[in-house]
This record gives sequence, structure tokens and C-alpha cells, in this order.
Amino acid sequence: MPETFALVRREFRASVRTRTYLLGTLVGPVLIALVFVLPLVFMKVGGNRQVVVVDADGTGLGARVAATLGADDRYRVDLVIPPPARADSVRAALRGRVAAETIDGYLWIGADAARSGEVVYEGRNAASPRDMGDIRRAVTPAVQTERLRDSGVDPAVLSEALRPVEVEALGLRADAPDGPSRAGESMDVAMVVTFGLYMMILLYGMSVLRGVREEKENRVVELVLSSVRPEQLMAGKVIGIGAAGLLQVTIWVAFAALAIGFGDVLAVALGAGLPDIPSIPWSLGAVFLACFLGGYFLYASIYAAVGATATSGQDAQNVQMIATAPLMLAFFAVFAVIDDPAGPVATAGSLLPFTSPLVLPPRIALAPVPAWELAAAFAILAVSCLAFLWIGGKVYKVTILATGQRPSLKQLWRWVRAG
Amino acid sequence: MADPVVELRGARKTYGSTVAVEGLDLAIPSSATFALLGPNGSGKTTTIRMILRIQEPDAGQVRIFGRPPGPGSLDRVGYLPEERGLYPKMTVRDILVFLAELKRIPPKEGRGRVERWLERVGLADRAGDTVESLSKGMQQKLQFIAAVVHDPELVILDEPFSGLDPINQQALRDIVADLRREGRTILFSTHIIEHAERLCDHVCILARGRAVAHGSVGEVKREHGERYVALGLETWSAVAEAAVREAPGVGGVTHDGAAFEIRLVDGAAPQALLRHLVERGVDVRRFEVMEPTLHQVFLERVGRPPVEMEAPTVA
Repeated sequence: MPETFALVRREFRASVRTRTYLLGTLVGPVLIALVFVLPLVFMKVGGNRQVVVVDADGTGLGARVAATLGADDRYRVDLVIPPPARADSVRAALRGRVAAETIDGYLWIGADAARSGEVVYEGRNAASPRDMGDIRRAVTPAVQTERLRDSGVDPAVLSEALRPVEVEALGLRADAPDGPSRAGESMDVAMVVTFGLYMMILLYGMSVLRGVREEKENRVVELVLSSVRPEQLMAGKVIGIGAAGLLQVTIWVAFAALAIGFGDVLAVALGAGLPDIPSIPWSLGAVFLACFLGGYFLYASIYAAVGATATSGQDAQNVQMIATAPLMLAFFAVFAVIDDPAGPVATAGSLLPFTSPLVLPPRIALAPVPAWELAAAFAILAVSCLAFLWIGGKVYKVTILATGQRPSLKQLWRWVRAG
Repeated sequence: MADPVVELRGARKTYGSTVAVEGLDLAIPSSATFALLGPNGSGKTTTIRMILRIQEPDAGQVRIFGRPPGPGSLDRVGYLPEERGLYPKMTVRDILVFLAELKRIPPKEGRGRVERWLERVGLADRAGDTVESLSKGMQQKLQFIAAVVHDPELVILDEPFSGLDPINQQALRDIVADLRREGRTILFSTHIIEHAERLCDHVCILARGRAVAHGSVGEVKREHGERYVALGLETWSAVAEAAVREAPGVGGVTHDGAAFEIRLVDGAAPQALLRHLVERGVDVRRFEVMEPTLHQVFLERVGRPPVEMEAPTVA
């Protein structure tokens, strides 16, 4: 098959040498870098809070809240215990400081707060769910401790009872003999695969469609088809452009890995925690890879077949919907599967070739999938890929003469059957 | 005769309700220069596409080198399509090496061949440039090279002279002459009879998808032979012209002054015509039984001139 190899190599070179490819390969990592580095920077630079805790109660509740909140690096906490008579003027002064932006806000723990529950936070960041969550998590145990102590509970018993519990999520799977894995991480990788595939199909599927259309437009197809079969030409295009896409994705992933490595250094430098590099079982990785490749091939073949029906650029815009619609369907099915990985949508979506490559990764990360179902899914996917290459070749053959008006679907079907 | 290089039997191809080719029998002998002659829309390109497996016949058989067109046989065929086009962004060298590779010439060998051909057509210094940066005429030269770079035994040229500037027309004629000298089989389609007459030894005249005449040029003419008489009179006179028109076996008369061209009906003897003219006292200066030109054969068989007065396509 030296001629097929020649076709693949030509397509690969043609896509790699475009300006958009070069740009995408370079800009991609910059975006990845931003995605990894910016949150760390924001966390450090934008995230610091200057908060004053006012203990109008005077029972030591304020000190406990301030200590808990202050344990978080993001908060710089001052404790003020005003004499009851001056409470109002202290409050006014704090409001002034918030307005002058010398502090972000103040937490007012009113007299008898443990019983009445009157705790007020006033500040510029009062709308931030994250900040308010932090503050609630600091106040609640302090108030609960206070209440329990009031009821006469021994402080030693109390501290033992309030010791935090760590819940670790480990996914146990029948199909992963290498033992339990962290389920969350498998899911993270699955979502990267699914969204990556979605992007890859949109980007490179369009490339395939454009390539097919241009070959027809500049008539070189006639010369090429005097040497090879149209299915060969299509397969060469799908594989060649796919290889260029994979190379780009590999560069991005390699860069992302570097960024994570660099991010670790940066994170340590900035005093944040170490992000984990996800680890997934090999068997799962193999399924993910098969989904990625199979999904790309199926949709690229569909885009190629659709491109063969187009006779002009304008036309291609219209017909690409035929290929994009099932992709959208698959995309929405993914969310249904995340909600219920064992439900009917998940089962049907795993067997339907248009959806299975996107649906399977999150599903299999969430719940075990029976081996027969997996085998059936990939068999259907493989057969569908070949079917679409074949149909694409037929369409190519019958539309090579057709310039001008695009054939109707009915006409196409008749041609495909006859041709 | 050895097995024909190309053979079609009862080939038929329709597009929807349009019949492009119907019941076509064709045999192209080895080393022949064969013209597919016919007006536009007569099925020339469809016939060529069936030979090249770009399209498959609805019925009938196509064989090249004694078997159905496929990887083994198509490698031995070169093709210059009527509608020419190359990948515009590829370099001159890359596209030619690629097209040779599709004919299973390894890239290493292909590069050497491409260099030699570029040298020959004077484009060696443009080998690294992209196709789109070349002039139209230069791109046409690349297209010639693509048709012959893999040393094919059969070369198919579809309307090869259309859209060529005079320099490239000559360049192509030289290439065709070389191919003939090397004993290769050449099939070309044309609607210009002069090209067929001057360049070919075999011809198939197509009209509305059917072959109306087929064989060596001599055979085709002989089938219509001794049916034309060139007659020269001393001076034109109405009496003399009337005598010509009344003569036995005369099917049609055209004349330019005293020079007549007379078409005889089937089975008519030229001698009877001459005897009649002498008896009528017509002053005959020249009487010649002529081999018909392809143009005459064409007119007679197709009923109209091959070129519907279309403007020459100059790109």
C-alpha cells in the first residue's frame, strides 16, 4: 500500500505546514499555561483578605473564630474586643475603614451570640461565596463548641468529638485489577478525553471537509482518482489530518505536563498546595485512547462524506450541520450519563456509534461497564467508520461530475446505490 | 493482432436519465495513436473515465492490458485530464514526486525522474516553488510531466490542446511525438478533426454516446472510400453545373466556381459519372476520385460539424 502511505504523508504535511497549525500549536500551550498558572497567581495576589473580628460578647468566642480563620493563609485577622459602651462608635469606625479600603470587612459577633446566633459580616467581599463559606466554617464550630460547653460538656470530650474526619473517595472496579484508584481522578481524565475529542472533531473534522471540497474545486481529484480508489483517498485524508491533529494534541499534553511540573514549583513558591498528577489504571487508559481515535475516525469520515457532496464553499457551510448535529447530541448525552452512568441514556449512548466515543469515557470512569457492552460498542464503532468511508467514496465518485447545484439527499441515495 | 491495450465491450454509463455512453465497443491496439473524436457531450470524457476506473460502467466490460482496471494496470497508465488542477500549496517537486508515488514509483527514484523532466521543460529552477506561484502555462507543463513521469505504456490525454498557449501546444506535440517514437500507446480525445487527422493512426468517432466509426484511419476512410470526386472544369457555366447535378449516382454537390466536390451515393461508380459528363460535352480539366477526409466522414456520420462554433478556450 505505498500509494495509501503517500496519501497519508501528503495530507499530514499539508496540514502541518499551514499557518493556522503553527499558530495553534504555539498558542495552545500559552492558553494551557494561563489555565494552570493564573489561578495560582490569582489565589495569591487577588485572594488576600484583611478582616477584623469584633467580639462584642467578650466570652472568648471572637478569639476562637479569629484563630480558625487566621489559620488560613488568605486571611489576615485582627481581633477587637470593644467595651460595650463604645460598641456603636467602633462599628462606625470599622465601616469607615471598609469604605476607605484599608480592610475588606469586619465580622461582628454580637453580645450573647452563642444563644441568639447574631453574627454579622459586613464587607466588600460579602458577595463572594468562597469568602462567606470560609467565614461560616470558622464561626459555626466556635459557636457550637460554646453552646456545648454551656451545656456542661467536658472540653476534652468536646475536642475529641470535633476532631475532623477525612473521607477518601476510592473507586473500586471489577475491571481494574491494579486495585482501587482515586475515582475523581479517573473522572477528570475522562472529561479531558471527552472534551478533547469534541474539540478535535470540531477542529480537524472541518479540516477534512475543507480538504475534500478543495480537491474537488481545483480538480486535482480527477488526477488522483486515476491512480487510487476514492475510499483510499478519503482514508488517507482522514488518517493524515488525524495524525497532524494527534501530533498537535501530543505537543499540548506534553506542554501541559511541563506546566504541571512547573506549576508545582510555582505553587510551592507561592505557598499553595501541590496539585496531584492524576493516575488511572492502564485498562481505563486504553479504553480512553480507543474512544478518542475511534471517535475521531468516525466523525472525520462523516465530514469527508459530507464534504464530498458540497460543490462550493457556501455549500460546505450549510452541509456541515449534517455532521455537527450528531456531535451536539453526543455532547448533551454526556451530561445525562454523568447524572446516571447506569441509566438508559448511558446504555443506548454507549452503543450508538455517534455518541459512544464521547459517552464511554465518563461512564466507564463512574461505573463499571459490562465487557460485552464495551466489545459491542467498539465493534459497532469500527464497522460504522468503514461504512462511512465507503459511503464517502461512493458519494465522491458520483458527485465528481456534479458542479453547480448540490444534489438532493434523495438523488444522492439513488446515486450511491447505483454507483 | 496482439491483444488490445484497451478494450471496451458494450460499455454503458448513465447519469440519472441522461445516457452518456451506450453500447460502446472499443479496441485500442498496442503502440497505436488513437483519437476519440466527437462533439462536446458525445461521451469522450465518460469513456476515458471508465477506462481509468474513475467511473464504473453500468453495464459492459472495460479491460486494460487484458484485465479490469486496477492497481496493477492503472500504474501503467498516464493521464492528462481535460479539467486540469494540482494542489496549489505544494511545491513543484513535491507534487510530481507524490503523483509518481501514487503510481508506485518510490520517492527516491521519483525525485530523479522529476529533476530530469523539469530540466527538459525548463522549470528546473522552480522545483522548490509552490504550484500556485507558477504561471498558468508552467502549471500546464507540470500537468504534462505528471502524465508521463512514471513512464506509462498507455498515455491518455483528454482534450489535450484545449486552453494551451501556442508554445505549450508545440511542447505537447513534441512530447506526443516522442511517446510515439518510443512505441507507447496514446489515446486522446478531441473535438478538433485536424488534430485527429494529423496525429492519429486510429480513430473512434463518437456521437451521442455511440461509436459511429471505429478502426484505423485508413479503414475508416476506406469504408467511405471512392465516394468523393474532385472535379475541375475549364469554366463554370449553368449548363455544365446542371449536367453535374443530373449525373447518375450524385448524392451532393458543392462548388467554388469551377471547382466541384461531388459526393456519390452508395454503390455509384465514378466511371459512370465521367462518361456522363463527357457525353454531355462538359469540358473536364480534372477528375479525381478522392479519399474522404475525416471531416467528411464525420459530417456524414454525425450529421453536423464537430465544433458548434464554440470560441476557442484561451485561459
